[in-house]
Amino acid sequence: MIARRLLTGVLAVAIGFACCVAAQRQMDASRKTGFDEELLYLPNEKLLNHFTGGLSSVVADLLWLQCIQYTAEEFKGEHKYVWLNHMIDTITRLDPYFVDVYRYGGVFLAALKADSDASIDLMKRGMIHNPGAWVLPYEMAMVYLLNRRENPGSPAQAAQFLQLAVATGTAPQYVIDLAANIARQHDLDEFERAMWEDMARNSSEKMLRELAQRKLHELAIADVCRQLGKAVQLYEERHHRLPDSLNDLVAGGIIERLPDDPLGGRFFLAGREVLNTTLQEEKLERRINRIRNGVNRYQARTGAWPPSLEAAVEGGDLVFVPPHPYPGRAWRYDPATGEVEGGSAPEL
Amino acid sequence: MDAIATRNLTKIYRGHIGRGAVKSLDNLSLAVAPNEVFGFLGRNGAGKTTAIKILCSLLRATEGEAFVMGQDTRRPATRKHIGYLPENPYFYEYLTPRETLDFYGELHGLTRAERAAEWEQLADLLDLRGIAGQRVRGFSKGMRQRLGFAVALVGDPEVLILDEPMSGLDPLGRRMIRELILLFHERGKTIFFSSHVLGDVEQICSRVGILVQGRLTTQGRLDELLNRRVNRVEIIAADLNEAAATVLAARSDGIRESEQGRHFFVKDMEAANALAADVLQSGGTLAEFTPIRESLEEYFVREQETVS
Amino acid sequence: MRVLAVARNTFREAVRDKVLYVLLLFAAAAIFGSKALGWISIGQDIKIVKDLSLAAVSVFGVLIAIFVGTNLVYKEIDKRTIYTILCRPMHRWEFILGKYLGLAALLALVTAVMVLVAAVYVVVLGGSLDATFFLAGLLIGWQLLLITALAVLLSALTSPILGAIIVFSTYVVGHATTIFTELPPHFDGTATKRVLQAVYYIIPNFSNFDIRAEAANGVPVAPGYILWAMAYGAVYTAVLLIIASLAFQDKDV
Repeated sequence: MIARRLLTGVLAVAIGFACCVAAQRQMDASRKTGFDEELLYLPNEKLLNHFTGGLSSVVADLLWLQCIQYTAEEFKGEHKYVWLNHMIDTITRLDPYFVDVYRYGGVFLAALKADSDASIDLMKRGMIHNPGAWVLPYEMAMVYLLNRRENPGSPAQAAQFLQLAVATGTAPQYVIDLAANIARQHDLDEFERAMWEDMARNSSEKMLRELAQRKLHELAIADVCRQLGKAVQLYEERHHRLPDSLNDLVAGGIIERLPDDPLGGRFFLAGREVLNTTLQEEKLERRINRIRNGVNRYQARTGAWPPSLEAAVEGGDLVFVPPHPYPGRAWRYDPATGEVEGGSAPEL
Repeated sequence: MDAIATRNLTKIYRGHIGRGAVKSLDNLSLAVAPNEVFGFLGRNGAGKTTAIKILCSLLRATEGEAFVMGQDTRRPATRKHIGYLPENPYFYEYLTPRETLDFYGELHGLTRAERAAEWEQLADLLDLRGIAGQRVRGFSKGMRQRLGFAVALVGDPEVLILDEPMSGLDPLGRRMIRELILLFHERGKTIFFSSHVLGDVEQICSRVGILVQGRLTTQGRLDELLNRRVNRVEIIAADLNEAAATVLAARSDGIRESEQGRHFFVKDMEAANALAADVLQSGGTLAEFTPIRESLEEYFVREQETVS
Repeated sequence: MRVLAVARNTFREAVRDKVLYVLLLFAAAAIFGSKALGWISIGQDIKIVKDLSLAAVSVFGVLIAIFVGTNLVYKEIDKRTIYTILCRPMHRWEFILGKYLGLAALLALVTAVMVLVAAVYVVVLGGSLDATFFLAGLLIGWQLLLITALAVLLSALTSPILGAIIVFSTYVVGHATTIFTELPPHFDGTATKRVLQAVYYIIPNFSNFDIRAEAANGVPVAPGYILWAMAYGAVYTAVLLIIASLAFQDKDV
């Protein structure tokens, strides 16, 4: 009967489909390529431009979406961001007018990967292709102000770029105000906090809000460190000697209890200062990147690794050797391989 | 001036890999006078369609020339004089006959008023009014053939070239085509049509040409071609007694019986006349006396055998 | 005019081709679906929608030109509708030109519709449109006119499948021709370089018509550039049509 034949047919199709699904799952499980391996197959970006059949801006979009995913994963996980530079380079070559990539890529590179050199290079390239975009010189100024605070010339550079931003004619009022007030802007911390708070509250993108939250935590931790430093001073005044550890502060009645680090690090005493591992790790990463970049530049220029870090400074590839964030420790540099090590957080 | 004339028309199809060159037409030279009905005969594959396509400038001849109304067929202006009906004509399925004829009228360069007038004429002539609004998609073979005829007549050309116009039609359809051809012959047009159905040709053509493997073996008036032989004579006699019948049968080449009487077949008119006289003398009556000339079919078959 | 009669007929016939509507459906799906990709970006929705929409218009436009165009003359020959047309007192080039104009009109219409749908979608999603977006659409249409001419040329000469392959390959290679001009320095002065230069000029350069990156990013384009691109397209198209007419002139039908 027709009904029976129909039923048999439907059953056969359902069973067949189930088998296909099972086979698919098997194949997926055995072939889990990590995200990083995919990028190994990204060809030379110049060639890519020729062979995308006129779809280069679509490919740029797709790669940018992947880049966002990658950044988000790294943000939650390892914080290594190994492929970030390569991806951003590829995307911007495919679509040089994609201002958001320069902008957000620059922010990721500077704030997350602590590679402000690459960030600045990227945004410079962006400005060449998009001279009318105010965001790019603005973000450049932010990098100088916030991520390169240690450099002596930074505020001046930042001021220059802010002027550039204003000169495009399309900058919003707060940028113009900032450019006018930059000479008087001493409390960069306040400024930075305001910026991150704004992003945490008003950004429509979840990822950016999370990034801002983290930065705000970091600022809060720095505050706590300063408070604890005052507590150390108080202890010294009261007991006429420095505490041996932070627990002494509690025992001595100066503070009620040791504060927690919401980001999972530890507070520790270093002489008169109170430091926090989260912040110091970040400083470590940032500074070690700067050193590594300098060493690489030396090698690219002369063909050999510099004999010492000071040699790189003399050669002009490194502006200065930043101090090791953990007191009493030094950078370990191997001139044979060009590797720089910072060591791990102290046991205290 | 001839309506259609070809001179040493030759068409060679170049060979491909695995196939040699094919000579489709070999020095074809024929002439069709104005207001003639010319039957172009040949077996399937003899080259009839090739010759017709060259006349209509759909193919280019390898050698030789072709003229219609005195003008070279390669010039576009010559085609103003030609009305072509291909074998199994195809039209745009989604158009109606009225739209179809309008389209072809436009291709001919007729103004809108002229096209309207053409439609009126042709619709009556070819009985298209009943199907004027239907799309060609659903048409039967007969309807398509009528439409094809109408399309060929757009622009009132002097020469009609029809490729196998009766193929695939039922007897009524074939009669319709025959009558149309005769009608246009009366109106002064020249009609050149190809066929391999000899019965149709016999009925309406004044001249024929026979194409065998690309060569024109015969060209001339039907009655002249076939007049050459009187094959035999058939005499039907009734009321004959047995004895007379036996005697007469002995003198004939063949005999037969039917309700009409006895049929006697003899070789020629002389023998026939003698036999007829004997029938009357024996007291019988002559029901029929028919000289059978060679039929076109027999002539045709004979031609084929001669060549091969 | 005879050419217009053929053109009108071609348009009517092409509009009936079901492949056209299937492709348009896919194009619409691509345009409307592009928003989904925008969801996983950090604020680049509109740019992505613009990018994908224009890419869809271009790709599907080419597919329509290929599928409908390469079939065009071939179908006429195969189905023998061409017999009764070519035996009229008209030149063969009039037939080719008419076929082309009919198909070109269809593609212009299809392109305009798709660009309009994309534009409306962008506005509905809250984005803004500028002249560059529509100019990008215009150049895409212009590029399609060139490709259509190539399709008609091939349909008069070969079978639809071979024609489709050739047109599609030309489309892909035509976007990559700039690679011939960016050869590494050790090629300078060699005969190879000169040959490749010649090849660069012969193969149609479709990247001339590609201002989609500018359109999606809102970067203005100089009007002079647009005019030069259109001139290039028009002349190249004319050349292709002339070749098609010559090739069809003596073709046995």
